[in-house]
Amino acid sequence: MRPTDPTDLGRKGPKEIHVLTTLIERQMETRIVVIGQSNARALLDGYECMVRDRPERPGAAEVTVVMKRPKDLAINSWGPDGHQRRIEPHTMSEVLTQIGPTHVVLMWGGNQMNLRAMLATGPPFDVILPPALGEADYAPDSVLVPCAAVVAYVRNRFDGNAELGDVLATTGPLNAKCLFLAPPPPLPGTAVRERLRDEAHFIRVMKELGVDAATVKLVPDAVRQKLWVLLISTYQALAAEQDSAFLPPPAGTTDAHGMLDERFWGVDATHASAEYGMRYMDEVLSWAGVPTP
Amino acid sequence: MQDPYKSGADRTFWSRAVARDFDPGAVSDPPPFTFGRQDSFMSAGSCFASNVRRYLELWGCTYTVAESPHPQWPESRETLYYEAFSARYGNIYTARQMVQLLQRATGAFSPAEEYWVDPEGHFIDPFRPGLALRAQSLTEFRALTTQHLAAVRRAVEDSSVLVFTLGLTEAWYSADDGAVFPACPGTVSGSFDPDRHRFVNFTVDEITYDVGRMVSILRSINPTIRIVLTVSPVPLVATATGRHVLVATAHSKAMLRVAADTAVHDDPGMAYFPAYEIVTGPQNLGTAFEADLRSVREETIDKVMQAFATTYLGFPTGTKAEVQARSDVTTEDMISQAFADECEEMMADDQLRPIVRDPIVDPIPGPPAPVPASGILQRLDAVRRRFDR
Repeated sequence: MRPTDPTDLGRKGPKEIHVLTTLIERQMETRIVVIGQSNARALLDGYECMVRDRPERPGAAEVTVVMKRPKDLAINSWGPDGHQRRIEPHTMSEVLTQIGPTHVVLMWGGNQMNLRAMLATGPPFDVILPPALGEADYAPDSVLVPCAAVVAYVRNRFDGNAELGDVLATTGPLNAKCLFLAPPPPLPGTAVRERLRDEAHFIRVMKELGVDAATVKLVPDAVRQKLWVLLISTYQALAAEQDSAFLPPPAGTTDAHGMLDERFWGVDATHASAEYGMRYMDEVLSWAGVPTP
Repeated sequence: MQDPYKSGADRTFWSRAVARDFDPGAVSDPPPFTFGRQDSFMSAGSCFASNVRRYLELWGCTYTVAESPHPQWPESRETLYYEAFSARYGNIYTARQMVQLLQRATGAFSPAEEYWVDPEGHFIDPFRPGLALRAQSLTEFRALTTQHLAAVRRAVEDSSVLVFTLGLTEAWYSADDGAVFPACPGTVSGSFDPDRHRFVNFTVDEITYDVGRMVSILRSINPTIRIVLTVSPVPLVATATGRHVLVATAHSKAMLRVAADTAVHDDPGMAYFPAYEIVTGPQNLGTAFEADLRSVREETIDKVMQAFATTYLGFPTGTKAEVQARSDVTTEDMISQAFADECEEMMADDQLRPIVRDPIVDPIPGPPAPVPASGILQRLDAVRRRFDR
């Protein structure tokens, strides 16, 4: 099966039969587009590892991972059986239009809690999770922040996001199945502190706070874990509102405290590793109906 | 022998003190105390009470804030009326409501109607029905309520002055235990249950008694706290008595006004500040209110607060414009927004109501059976006797 040429679509006259054939081919293929920002890096690297180490796993699926960077898109696209191919659109919507995916996977944002509540300022705070999401314990000497406020913060980041709106608007007419992925669980405080000294964003924030990586106060792991649970529950709710599926983080990637297990720590304070991304991509393929060889 | 009026000061004559040369700063009786920079203020009461905070902060006074959004979570900022006071109690319209709040803060009372549940399964505080951030579980609701009530107590402990504005005499209460609500159930949130929710129009002796109870609880927490009582000049949005709202307003304000004077009588730790008179007196020639004839104009509020400063503050303040010209007070900007927000009382009027959470607004039942009239003086005597004991 050859990669489809999107420029064939819509041509008339002598090309009609070819176009029809292409369309039928396309209907039969599994074409997955994964879109995200920095958290998509683990997926991109993980899938690269997968096609290298387990080339049989993707089977006939085409997989394209699009990672939005501050100034451009990083796109890796693999045809059936993991053959890499070149694709150079300029916007996420163009990627979607060009590929015509059968499955769209969104690893959207995900660093909301790290940006807001990894470093601690002000008095200690805590949240109480709703019963469906976990234990209702909290530190009584902390300022209790209503869950609704945390959810409102996450929702505000989604609701006003024109780029996400654009992606969803483009995805709708494609009749593609849509899947929301969860951002990775937070790294434990010890791992965060080790990595902070190399992170430009947090170095800048710490400088503003008048602290450094050694002295900065971190929000306790237990609180960050609860914030992450609220974060992914909001992703789940968002997915349901979009008639989309939601896939929680891969099984076995958290430690006993619900933090990201050491085996899956990324190189920085907030992201997961390629190994984590490979496991997630494996589950994405299963969700898309790609059988495990 | 001259009659007593011959030696009266100018301020005691209408022609000299009101009809001409009206000075808002001279209206108050000489106060039993004044305040200095070392004092910390708490305020509570109806919508009008929120003016106190913004002016005190403008003047550089210490305003006690025991409950505020966590700095890392600006989304935890409530609608501004709940952020306009020393803790997130919002508007407290009746003296009974304040007594109840203090009782809850001291663990002396737990209302039977502890919470309502909205269609999404979130928990509504019947005593703060306008809170936008509703608890998502009963555990969270109780923890947030406990946190709030602890903040109320802390605010009283940390303040040397409470400015309390009496707003209404009409209220709705739970038949279960008499707990009063700030708004009729079903207007702001929740739903109205005619078997459970009853109307009351507090009498002057009930109000006076409640103010006495309020003072007693306040002093049990903070024995040296001084209290300035005011009466809100803002008319009722609506009355549930069935009477004309103008008559109902006059009745309510008269009750509150008498109760305020009675309560401060012979108590050196209390004073009455005549905001009501400065706003509603005929000396304003009809200019005190906005076009809705209910909202007090900003210029009028400025006059009232300047009079407050003249009466109580032993240091120069300046008008709002003067203070604003020499400082960049961001809190003032925030609090002034409170006036753009509608208070819970306004939810009683469908035509004014900006937001209706619950699409089903239960009808307000007809007027209650008339309360037998009794002599105000007799009631006052009874109240005084009660306090004397």
